[in-house]
Amino acid sequence: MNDYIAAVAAPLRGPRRVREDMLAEIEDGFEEAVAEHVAAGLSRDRAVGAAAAEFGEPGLVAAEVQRELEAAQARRTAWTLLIALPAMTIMWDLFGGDGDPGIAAILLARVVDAATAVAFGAAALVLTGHLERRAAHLCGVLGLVQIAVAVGCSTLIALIAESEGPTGAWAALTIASAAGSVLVCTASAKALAVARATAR
Amino acid sequence: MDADGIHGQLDTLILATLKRGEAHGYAIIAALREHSGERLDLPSGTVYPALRRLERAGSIDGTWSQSSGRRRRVYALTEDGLKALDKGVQDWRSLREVMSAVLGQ
Repeated sequence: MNDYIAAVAAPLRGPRRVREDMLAEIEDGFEEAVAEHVAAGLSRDRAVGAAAAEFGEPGLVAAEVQRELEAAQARRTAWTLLIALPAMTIMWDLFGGDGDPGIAAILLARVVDAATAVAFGAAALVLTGHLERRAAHLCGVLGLVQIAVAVGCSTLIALIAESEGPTGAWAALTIASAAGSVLVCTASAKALAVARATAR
Repeated sequence: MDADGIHGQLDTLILATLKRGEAHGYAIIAALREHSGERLDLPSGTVYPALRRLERAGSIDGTWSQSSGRRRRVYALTEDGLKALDKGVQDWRSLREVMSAVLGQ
């Protein structure tokens, strides 16, 4: 990697494959520009300098590339929300038992549903291209809020619901939910980190 | 013309270049330079993220191709891109008319 491409690459944050593809593409073009100047009679060093001047300030190019990385990360996080959140909801609806949990538990469950619906809705808007501005930031925040609400309310439900003691199904549900929550948290944290890099 | 003046029109210029036929990033940069009579002073590095943005919007299609040992991304205009180009040209014409009218030329 030459110095120019390294300077463009340094501040970039976002999905590795997209980042590498974009840098490879810019590097290929940069080398083509250098080759043109060398063919016109410049030394390699001066040709690199001329190509760098044509391509523009590395910081300026990096800022534009970072915007694309943010969009790519927003889509990835949105996909995670779109798949993991309904999967976890359906799982609890199917296997969460069918005794009467009491009004408080039902209300708390509705709060979780509402948080899920908001995060799911935002993810759908991002993926259909209806929401672009600050998409990564929004997906990250709503994903984390959903998990916080879900974990908080589930803990309360477990405390107030008259449970017949932990069963095998509950243990499996809890483990699956924990795995889903980690997945959503990781994707949300990534989106927030990439959004922060873009805002810088 | 400097980069600030041209930035908003970059998408339209790229689409117009691709209307002549598919091309990879540096060929688009070279074509922009050539067709502008070397008067377009654009930081060419910004053409690459612009291509990604246009691809995301569905205006162009990018595919990796292997030519003489180099892996390159080649872009082609889509149907939507053709419409976006028409709109870009219309917008530019209206802006030019407004400017001419106000400047009294």
